[in-house]
Amino acid sequence: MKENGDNSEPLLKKRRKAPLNTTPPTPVKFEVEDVYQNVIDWEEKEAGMRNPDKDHQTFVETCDQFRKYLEEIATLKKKGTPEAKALICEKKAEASLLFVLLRKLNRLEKLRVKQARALLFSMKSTVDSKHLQLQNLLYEVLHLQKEVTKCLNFKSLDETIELVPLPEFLRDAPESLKKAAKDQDDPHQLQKARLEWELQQRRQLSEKLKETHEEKDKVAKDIEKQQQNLEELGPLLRKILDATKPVEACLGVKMQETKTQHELCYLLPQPLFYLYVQADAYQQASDPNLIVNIVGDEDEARRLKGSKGPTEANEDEDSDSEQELDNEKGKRRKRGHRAVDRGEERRKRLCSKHPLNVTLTICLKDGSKLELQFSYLLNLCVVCVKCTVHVAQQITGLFARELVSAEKILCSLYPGDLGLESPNFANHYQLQNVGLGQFSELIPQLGTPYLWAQKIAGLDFISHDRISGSSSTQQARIEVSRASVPNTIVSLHQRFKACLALCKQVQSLESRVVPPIPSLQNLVPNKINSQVNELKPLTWADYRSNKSTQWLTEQHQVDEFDSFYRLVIARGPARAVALIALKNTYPESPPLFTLEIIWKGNFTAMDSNSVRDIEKEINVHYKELIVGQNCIETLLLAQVTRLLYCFDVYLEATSESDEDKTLFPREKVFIQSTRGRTRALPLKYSEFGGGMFTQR
Amino acid sequence: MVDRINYNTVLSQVFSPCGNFLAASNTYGDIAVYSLNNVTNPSEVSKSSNGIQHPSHHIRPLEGGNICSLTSTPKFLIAGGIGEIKGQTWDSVTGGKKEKPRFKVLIPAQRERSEQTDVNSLQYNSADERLCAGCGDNNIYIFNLESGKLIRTLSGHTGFIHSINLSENQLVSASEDGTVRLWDMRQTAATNIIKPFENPRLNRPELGKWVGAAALSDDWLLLCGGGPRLSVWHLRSMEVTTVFPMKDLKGVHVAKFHEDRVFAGGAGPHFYQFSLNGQVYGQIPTSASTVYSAELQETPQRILSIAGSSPYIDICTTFNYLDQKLAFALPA
Repeated sequence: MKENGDNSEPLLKKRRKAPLNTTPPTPVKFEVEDVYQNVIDWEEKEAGMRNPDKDHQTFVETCDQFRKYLEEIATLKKKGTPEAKALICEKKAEASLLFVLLRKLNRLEKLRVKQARALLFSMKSTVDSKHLQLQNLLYEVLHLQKEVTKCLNFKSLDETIELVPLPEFLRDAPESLKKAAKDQDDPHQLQKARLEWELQQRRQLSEKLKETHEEKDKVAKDIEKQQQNLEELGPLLRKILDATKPVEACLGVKMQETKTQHELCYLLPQPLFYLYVQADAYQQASDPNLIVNIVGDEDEARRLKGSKGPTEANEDEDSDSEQELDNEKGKRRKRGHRAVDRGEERRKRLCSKHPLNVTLTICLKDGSKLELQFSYLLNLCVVCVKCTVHVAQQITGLFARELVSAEKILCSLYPGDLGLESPNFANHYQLQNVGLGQFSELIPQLGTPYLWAQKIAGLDFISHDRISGSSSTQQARIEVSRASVPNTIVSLHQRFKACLALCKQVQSLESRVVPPIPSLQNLVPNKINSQVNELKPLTWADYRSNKSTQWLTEQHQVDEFDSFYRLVIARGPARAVALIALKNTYPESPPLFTLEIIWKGNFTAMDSNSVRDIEKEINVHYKELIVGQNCIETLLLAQVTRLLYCFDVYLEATSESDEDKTLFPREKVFIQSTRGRTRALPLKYSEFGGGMFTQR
Repeated sequence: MVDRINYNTVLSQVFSPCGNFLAASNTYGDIAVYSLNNVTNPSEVSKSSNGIQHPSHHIRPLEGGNICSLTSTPKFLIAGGIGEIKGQTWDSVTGGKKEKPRFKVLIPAQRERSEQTDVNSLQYNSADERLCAGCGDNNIYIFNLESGKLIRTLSGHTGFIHSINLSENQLVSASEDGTVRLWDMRQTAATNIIKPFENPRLNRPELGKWVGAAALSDDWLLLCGGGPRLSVWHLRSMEVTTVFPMKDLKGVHVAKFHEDRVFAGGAGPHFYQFSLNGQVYGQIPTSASTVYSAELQETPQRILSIAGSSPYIDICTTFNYLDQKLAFALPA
């Protein structure tokens, strides 16, 4: 597109060169590469040197020229003349030459593009490297900034140290340190000085601590030594005391023992204290066979006495918080487990006993002992009794043994006093609060809360209740204790004696022996033909279900706390079964007999007047059998003896046929076998006329 | 302790002549006196205590225990004890005042007997003011009440007399020896002897041959029973006309004619009322295991009172079923 004149020169040169390039390649074959390379190099140079714009101009012009040739050829061809044909050939050749030029231009252009690309690439890579460098630098800057902030935020350990306050430091510190701080008036230096001072001071103090520790150890060792000396003194003293005992015994003074007991008794809770005092007084005044003792953990008692107040206060607090807990139960399940533990603990605490117990031992002449251990429940405020029985003579009877069990002896000592429920009505609620059931379930663990036990300890729940209407704060009263101790001990004594006596008698019956009773020699016939065949215990249910005992149970003559036996007596083929109820108020209430005669049918008091009469002889007229001092030992056996001879009389008096008369020959002497409209049998024995039976 | 009242046995009862009082005696020698007005119209107080009423008071006319029989004259209550018979005015009995017995009759002692004699049965004949006593010494004594003298002794039984019954001049006695004897009061020997145990329809050998009760009716009938079964005999022919077969009446102690019926009781759970030909009209359960006494009256109130070996007396106002119980013991 530029000036044509400029393009003409190089165009010419190109023309020259082109034939040069194209002609020589064939002759120089071995130098081909070099030449080719040279050409390339040269062309490259040329391309660099030439102006691309001018080349573009040349290219456009050349193309125009070519088109011009083509138009001339076309016009010539249309003429179709021979000159035209020659001209066409000429023009063809000229046009072909133009291709050479075009080709050269093309090559140059290509080289230039290549160069331009190389240049672009090199420029690009330099730009990239520069960019990278820049980023590196930026990162470094960021890192440095971070380091700087870190440094700025750093806290030195010395700041946490508690230092002596500045004024104090200025007052106490040595001059050298103070000077260093003052001179430079630099907070850092001041800090350093204060730290130095602190260090010095602390060193001094730790030194002091060490010294004090050593001193303390020394004193502790000293104390230990002294303690050991004291302990060694204890056994020595005890030995001396033991040594004095025979002397005391020799002189008949129970000084030492009484003294320790008396000292102990001040540690007792009030009810047990009253019991001890009254029982001890009673023992000295009227019953040398009673032994009164205090047993238990003395130290524990001392501790308890010291801390009695606070425990009660705690108890109250506890119950409050417990209630809260109950209210929130639904919300807080987590506390459930803890509550269980606490409940257990509270239960234990509620049932806790005073560590000291009072024991009363009632001794009988034969050496049998009834040991009663009274313990006081601190929080339930009742006195419980545990009982052990020591029998002097071995009890061989299988069923008899039961009669001297603790329960039998203590049950219903006073009418209705079964000890199954706590006499303190508040206990019911106290137990309920901690989730315990009835008091009776605790009896095996705690002992039995008999009413009489409360009374001899001065606790009078019933009358107290009547007056004030509340029994939660139960106060023991000495008057109550004083009034009931003598009676109760006498009752216990008698009851124990009675139980033992019954036991021996049952044992004898168990071995089918009814020994002759010397004191009754004149009241029973010498010869008795009927014999005891068997004695077995009977349950309350069995006893009650028997038809012939109905009226006894209906009248409450017997109850389930009595002992029941089934006695079978026999003479020849005839049998009689007696159901015996041993009351625990024996001997005031005699054993009750219910008779059934099995001979030619079964007869009880309900259908036979004779059986009824025999029962009457035993149950109503038993008082005749209470003769002599130790009737308590023989009453049951005496009644059985009477049963045996009455059975004899029954059999002998009712035998009318010859066959029966040979079976039961009439050995008893009686005038009338029946008398009066009741056809009564001669059941009453009198020694008159060598032993005779008459109707009563 | 079992009180002796649990083994109480009432042997005899009698209504006062006015019919307003009942006296019952037991083997312990007590006579319990009940006011029948209270019994038939119980007051509120007595209703509340289980409905069982107690006697208004007890009297003890005899020192030695066991009052075996009672009977009544228009003025006196007569009690037969052991070896003696005592009379007390009804006024003192019903009033409960302590008074010495107005008269006393001693049973003549038998030489060969060492024991005193029970007066098991008493009957009073108002026509000639005579008192008949069936006794434990096998004899029947007839006393003149006015003079207290023994008029006649009827002897012949070989066992003690259980009961006697009068009808005009005839007397019937039941005895332990197994015989029933008929007597004319004007003679000393028995006019007739019946032995029920010899009759196979009546005999119950396991219970014995004793006869506990005998009674006469106006029209020549005789009722008796005991170990042998209860039976009605015709006096003219001396044949058994009716046998009462009740199995649970083991041993008859009470047998009575009343109008055209027979009342009988004894060892067993029931007191019976029969027609003369053996049909059962009534069967009253008794609190006594053995009934020893049954008394009945029509005026002023219809009352049947049954007693025996029990602390209670059963009262029937209809004769058919048990109305109420009276306790023998005084109120506690």
